[in-house]
Amino acid sequence: MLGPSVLFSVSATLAVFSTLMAMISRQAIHALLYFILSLLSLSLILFDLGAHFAAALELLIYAGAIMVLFLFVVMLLNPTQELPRKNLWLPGSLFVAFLAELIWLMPGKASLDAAQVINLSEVWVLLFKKYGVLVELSSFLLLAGLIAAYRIGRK
Amino acid sequence: MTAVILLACVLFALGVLGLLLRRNFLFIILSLEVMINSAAFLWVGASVYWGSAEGQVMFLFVAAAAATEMAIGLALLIAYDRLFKTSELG
Repeated sequence: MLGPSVLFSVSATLAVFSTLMAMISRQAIHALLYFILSLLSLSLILFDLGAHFAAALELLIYAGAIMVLFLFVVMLLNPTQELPRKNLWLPGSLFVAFLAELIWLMPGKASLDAAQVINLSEVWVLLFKKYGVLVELSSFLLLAGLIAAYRIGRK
Repeated sequence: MTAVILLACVLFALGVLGLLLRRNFLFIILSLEVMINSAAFLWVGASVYWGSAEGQVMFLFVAAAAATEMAIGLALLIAYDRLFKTSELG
């Protein structure tokens, strides 16, 4: 593999910077939005590396499911909190950088840093043939998590 | 590949930094999420490096474990907030 491509470098910078902002920002909702941007750029990196399945999962599970759960909890905890008006140039410029990457990717660019693209069927076959027991075990784990969260969250 | 490992390490370090700096329950859970995510990212990086799909299978399992952990952690946060009327620790 050669050195990292432009897409990788820009996304990595974006991911590191927005994670840092998520860690040091004062408001929980700002931290969550920065972290979502970090997850989106990590997903772009995974696409760039040729791991398309993992990139989709990063969007669906992390940015989709887990972050929405976080947002629900933040809204549940302090619903009427007035956020102070901040200047928008920093999050705005991060977002514009991310959007520029997406637009640059538009005309069907390939995964630049990929040695080879590992496609979806390869992962699924391995998942259900070789690791079928682990799939069952993780479903047990998710069920246990569901029951525990219900029990803890009850009044 | 060096860049992937470096990026995963930097993200993990940022997660540790957040864990040490913040005393808010929500931010601690968020830092844990950052660290798990960087470890999962390293799995995928290794999968790409070796040209094998196993790393991505492991990414899926790490994501499932992280989702479970988040659900329980956020339930604990709600219970804590209900009990002490704040999400600050200590």
